[in-house]
Amino acid sequence: MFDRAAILFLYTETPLHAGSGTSLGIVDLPIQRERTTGYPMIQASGLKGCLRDVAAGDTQKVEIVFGPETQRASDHAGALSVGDARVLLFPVRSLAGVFAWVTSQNVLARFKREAEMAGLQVNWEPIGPAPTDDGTAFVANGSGVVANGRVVLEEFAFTAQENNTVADIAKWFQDKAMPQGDEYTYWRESLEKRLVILPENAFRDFVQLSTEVIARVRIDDTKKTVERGALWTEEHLPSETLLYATLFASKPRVKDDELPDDWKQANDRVEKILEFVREAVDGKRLQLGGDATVGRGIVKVRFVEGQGQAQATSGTQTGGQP
Amino acid sequence: MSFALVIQPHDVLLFRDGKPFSAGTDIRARSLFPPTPFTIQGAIRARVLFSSGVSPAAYVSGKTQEAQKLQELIGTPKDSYGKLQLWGPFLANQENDRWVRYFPLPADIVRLSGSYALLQPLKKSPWQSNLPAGLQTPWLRTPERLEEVRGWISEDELGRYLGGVAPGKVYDESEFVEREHRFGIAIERARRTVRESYLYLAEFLRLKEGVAFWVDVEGISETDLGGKTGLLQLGGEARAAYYEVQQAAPDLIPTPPNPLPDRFKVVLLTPAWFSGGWQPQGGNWGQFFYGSVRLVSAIIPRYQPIGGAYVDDRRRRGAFQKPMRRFVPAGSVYFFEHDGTASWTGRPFTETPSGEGNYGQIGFGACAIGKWNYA
Repeated sequence: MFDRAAILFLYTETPLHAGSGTSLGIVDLPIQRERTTGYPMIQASGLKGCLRDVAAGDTQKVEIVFGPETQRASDHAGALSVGDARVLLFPVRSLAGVFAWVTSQNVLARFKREAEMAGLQVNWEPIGPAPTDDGTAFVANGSGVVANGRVVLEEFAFTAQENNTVADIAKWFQDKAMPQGDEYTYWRESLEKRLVILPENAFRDFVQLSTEVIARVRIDDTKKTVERGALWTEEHLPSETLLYATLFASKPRVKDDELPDDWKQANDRVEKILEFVREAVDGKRLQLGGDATVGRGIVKVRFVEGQGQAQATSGTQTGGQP
Repeated sequence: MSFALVIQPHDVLLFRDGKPFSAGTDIRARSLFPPTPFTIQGAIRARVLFSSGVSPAAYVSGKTQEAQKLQELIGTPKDSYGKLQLWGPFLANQENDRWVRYFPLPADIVRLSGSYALLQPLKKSPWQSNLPAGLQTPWLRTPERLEEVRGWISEDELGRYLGGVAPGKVYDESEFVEREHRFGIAIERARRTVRESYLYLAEFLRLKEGVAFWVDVEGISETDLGGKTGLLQLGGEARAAYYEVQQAAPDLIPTPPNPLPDRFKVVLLTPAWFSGGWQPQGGNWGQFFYGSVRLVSAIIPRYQPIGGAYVDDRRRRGAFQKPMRRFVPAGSVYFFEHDGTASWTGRPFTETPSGEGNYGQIGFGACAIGKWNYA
């Protein structure tokens, strides 16, 4: 049973294609989405597989944390449960400032609840334009994406409304969520200038319609022209998207004598599970999703664990439910 | 001690049915909705076990004092549930800061030209039928065509229905949950390609905003769970859910009248198991009532097969599958009659196969009692 949780932030450095395998639309290979909201996501099974892969090495620990191989799956369960990766900040083309990071009150409320559950201190309230107000966007004071009092994203214009909480949220993401390291200093600092909180419908439309759709072809080796029937389109999450996934850890599901020696001694074995994952992935670059050989799906990972035991906060917040 | 648990998923949930799901052949996993009481009791008892600090091995052996106390509280892994008493699970929806519960639709509700009506037993059929045990046909006097209807009704509507009024609105399952189909693959580690025969399709449940599972709990306290709110591991893939302890809601479902009306019907709100299939062996209804009652008619949709897996260490390594048993589904209605005075014993409307823990204790056979009249 889960006793502790942590949050994994995933920042896409190249477009990411977590394919859903089914298509009824215009894109041949669409990405995975949440059924109710339509927001992009990465299914937990894919993320967990990737984490397991990166952590490979100490087979004994890997099996305790992630569970045994399929053939022996019924021996015991893994001690780690991975949630779906959800979108937090999504980049959209902007008339001023090249691109903006958009989010919405729903997304922020849901994130806040999960972050607090994982023991993180969240010092801001999820805010957003009133539900009836489809034409306003919240930005920080001195935002870099405002031109003449308007935020123009793709072909859509919103009235910019400055709000102090936006800066608080940006500051929090800078400190806690964005990748660490010098190469990200510029990006962390520009977050406040680029952050836009959109009305719910506008946010949903952007994450549904402004993803990157890449057309691909296969060339016939001898003729050097496109092979017949070999044109297809793939949908990708654009680079500079910030996603997060919640990790839940429980006590190891094996007998004490089957534990590695250094874990036997530990007072807090749940902590050991998270520590194992943190050491394997924190600050690293992972490859998620398809098209690895054409450079897609590189994400920079940040592992954030709160203090103390995981606590579910009240489920009565507005929004934020899947 | 009595409270309600409201259980909300972290993202998606999977409660598999008993159909095979193995590499290369049966690649599709489907989800039950709602989960059965077996699933919910397992999640709750595991939560209590992990919050107690007793190791699973010590709990199984029951040698220490703490382990024995725990066994008294939540039973042994094999065949008892200790003091725990559950009622549900049902659905709950948050409406204006209040949780409204929803129950499976009773099967005697039919759709009749755009609205709903109730089937009732015929007094004396003018025909012969092969219905067993002299049962009467459920009937509605109308020249219109009747349609079967499935879904859920709110607690207010259920209360009125028990008084003999057909509901005004029936909620479809899709108002509470979406089924999210997900393809999955396995990657061949060395070659970085998809592993042959490892493509699968799983159907997850995504509850809509504000929708939760609701279960009434007795016998344990919120301290045993580890607090007023917390995390549960629920269903397949070890998915996470949050629970929140609520004061048990004011009972909107009327408690059964005592004594029972001359003609009363028992509506199952969760599945039930009976030794004789749809009824107790030999029609022994006496175990649920004081006084003698007579079954007049019954409306029972298709059986629901429920199996599962044992998780205790010993059986899991052998034949870990539980026997698949046929249950009478939630929504089934039994019409009874009595001539003298009869009252309900208050026991859940289910029996338990020998060698199993009491089904009634973990939420099977939850029922409501209403009245009826001949058609």
